[in-house]
Amino acid sequence: MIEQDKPRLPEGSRRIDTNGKAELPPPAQARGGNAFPNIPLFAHTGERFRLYEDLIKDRIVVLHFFTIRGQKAFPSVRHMENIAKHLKGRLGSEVFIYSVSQDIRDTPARLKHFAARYEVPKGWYFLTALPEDVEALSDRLQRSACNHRGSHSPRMVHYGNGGVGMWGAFGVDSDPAFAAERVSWVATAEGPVPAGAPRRAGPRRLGNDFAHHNRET
Amino acid sequence: MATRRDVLKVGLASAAYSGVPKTAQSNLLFPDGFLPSWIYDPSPPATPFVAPLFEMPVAQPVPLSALNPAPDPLRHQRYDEFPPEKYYIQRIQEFLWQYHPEPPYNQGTWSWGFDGITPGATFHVNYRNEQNVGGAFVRRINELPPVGSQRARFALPSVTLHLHNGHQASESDGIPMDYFGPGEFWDHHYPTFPAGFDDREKLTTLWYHDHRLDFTAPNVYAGLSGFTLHFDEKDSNDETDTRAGAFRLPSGKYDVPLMLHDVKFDQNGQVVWDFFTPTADPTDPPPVPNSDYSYTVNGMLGDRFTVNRTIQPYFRVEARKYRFRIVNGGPSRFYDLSLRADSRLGRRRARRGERFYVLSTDGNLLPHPLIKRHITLGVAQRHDVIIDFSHFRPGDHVYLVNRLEMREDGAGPTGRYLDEGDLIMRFDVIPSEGDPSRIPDHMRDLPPINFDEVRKERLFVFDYDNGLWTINGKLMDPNRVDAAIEQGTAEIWTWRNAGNAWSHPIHSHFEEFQILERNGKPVPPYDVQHSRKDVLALGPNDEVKLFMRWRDFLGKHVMHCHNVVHEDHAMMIRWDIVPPGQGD
Repeated sequence: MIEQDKPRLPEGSRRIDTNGKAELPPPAQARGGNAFPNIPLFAHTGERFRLYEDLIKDRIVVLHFFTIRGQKAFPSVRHMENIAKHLKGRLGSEVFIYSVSQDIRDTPARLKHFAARYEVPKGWYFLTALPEDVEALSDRLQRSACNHRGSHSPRMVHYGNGGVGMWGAFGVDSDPAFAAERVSWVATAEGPVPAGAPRRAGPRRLGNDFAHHNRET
Repeated sequence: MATRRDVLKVGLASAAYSGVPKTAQSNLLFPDGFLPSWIYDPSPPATPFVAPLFEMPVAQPVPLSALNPAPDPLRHQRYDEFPPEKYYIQRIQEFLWQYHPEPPYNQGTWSWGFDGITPGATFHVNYRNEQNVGGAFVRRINELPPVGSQRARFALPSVTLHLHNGHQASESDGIPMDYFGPGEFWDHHYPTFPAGFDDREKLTTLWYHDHRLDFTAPNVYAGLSGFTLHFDEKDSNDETDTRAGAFRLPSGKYDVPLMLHDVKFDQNGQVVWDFFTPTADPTDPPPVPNSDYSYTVNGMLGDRFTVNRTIQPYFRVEARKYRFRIVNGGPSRFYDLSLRADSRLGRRRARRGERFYVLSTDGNLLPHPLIKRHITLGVAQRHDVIIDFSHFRPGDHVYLVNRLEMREDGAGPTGRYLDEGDLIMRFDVIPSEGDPSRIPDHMRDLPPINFDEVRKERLFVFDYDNGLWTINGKLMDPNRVDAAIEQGTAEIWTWRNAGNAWSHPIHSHFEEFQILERNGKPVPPYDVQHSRKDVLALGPNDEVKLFMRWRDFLGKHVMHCHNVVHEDHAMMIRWDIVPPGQGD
């Protein structure tokens, strides 16, 4: 890239120049302001956690709601098992999966028994909580988890970066490899952007392929 | 052993998850009790009409030699056929932007934009002439901080820039998967010729905005939007043009793009997005006990109306004609806009000026201007209008008013029209220095609809599935081709809203469509919808049949809901233009 003169701001621009100045007060980060309920949760492993302190803060999170009973109608946990396979390596250190039951009958002991039917790598927890707490959480994440005790397992998966506060969503029945790729999007960058000329991301040279993007591969 | 009830359940589930659902899921599972942030924690007050309108500068081209590496024709379909007339470099950055001069807004709001401004600079791009001169090439460089360092914490610093309504190939379109991160750039080639080389297909007012898969709503909300205007020998950007056939529409400083975004701010004047971003102290009790903080999938409404990212601005206008290019930039609000004058001439005289000469729908010039008292804009819809302030006297105030009430959760209008409504901005009338501009009698005819070109009919049903938004029961999967359309053919698409409570502004990329019928009836000729369109506001239970064509390029594009919160929650399909004989 040829370095150009720093462009002058147009007349009337409302950009506030911070060059050479201390940061203005308070520059609070833009935020949603929606705190997580720091509810206690009980895992299929017998462990007990606080939602925010132990499970969200500083982690890449994949979270969905389910019920054991609902798996016959819609096998969301089987889908999540496929996603977990593609997250292997990152699971348990950087990325964590939380499957939160909305059925009060899904006790930790029952969850343990249920989890044994699946390949559950380190970093994937089946969780339950007091009914009012699960309700508080599912209200906050997704009002539509229609029926807090019901037979329906929602399709929605929330994924995000708990440290940064950036969240997206996908369907649990999405392509599992692609779901794992999405989770990588929200990971905190390791170090600053490399100095020097910007790198070309695309479009790539034309070919006969019909991939889902035009990026350099 | 499966019981009879289980079998029934499986049956129901497979109806919901494969193909077109038999019943609207919406009626079964719609959330209740959602309380968005603008209700429980309104934005700090800001005195209206004390901030002047921000007028975006016209983007300035750079010499070809400024692009290093140089543009690579092998990366763009038909590049050599359509060499660009102008080259640009645009840098995507994070900065503090002042939405309003009063505290707390005066200290600046962390925003995203282009070369230090939001909306970004306005591109003026010429249609190619007989000498094949026209079009543009834009290199966009992502200079945003990487994930974890961005101050607009809700947005993803990996972007893709879509030129909305542009007739450009897939690789320059800014489709959701063509993203580039901090330290990367993307080249966009805008060939700028009318579809099928038919002058009736020319486009006029376009806008560019982020289109990142899963993150379009927060990224546009953070500030990634701007205008691109197309000109030709008729719409020539010169109100004194004496050439035969020139429209002489108001030009220069009398041609003003207006980008509407409604924004929610916190008490520090920072932008709020309604999802569960942790606060500095995440165990803080909510300000309203037992309030429903919730991740929004329905929509995002702001309680501060901004025009060109200024809260309720004023704009000095001479007592003459102006052309305004109004875009509803979203994320979710629908508007019904009208004018209300506070005039010394009295109500009856003022009433003559309180009207729009509508020039375009969705940025496409109509066959002839239509006089309307009000215009409706779903998200991403545009109208170019002329307002003739010569009906007013210097010192008069004219307000742009929105009278459409939205559902509190942002999923669509309630259907009610408010008496007072929201004052979006104020025009302050000053003396005129003359007005050579004209309102033309004729503009662009509609291209004919030829049913012999139709190869296929398709039905798309827009519905809701427990927090996610579906098309034919499916969620967006960029790896799945939902329609393989043969190049050079037309199709009839039916869009059906299965929900009875919300609206979807549906947008399809690349070429415009015309409405054949809406709920079984044709569109009357003097309706603004009797036009070339690229966004259609699909109201509750609406069903609309469209005539659509695909020409000139191959490749992948998308069709989606432009309530960008619905889009991010998967209400989108990928369609591909494929060579003849390879369609589905």
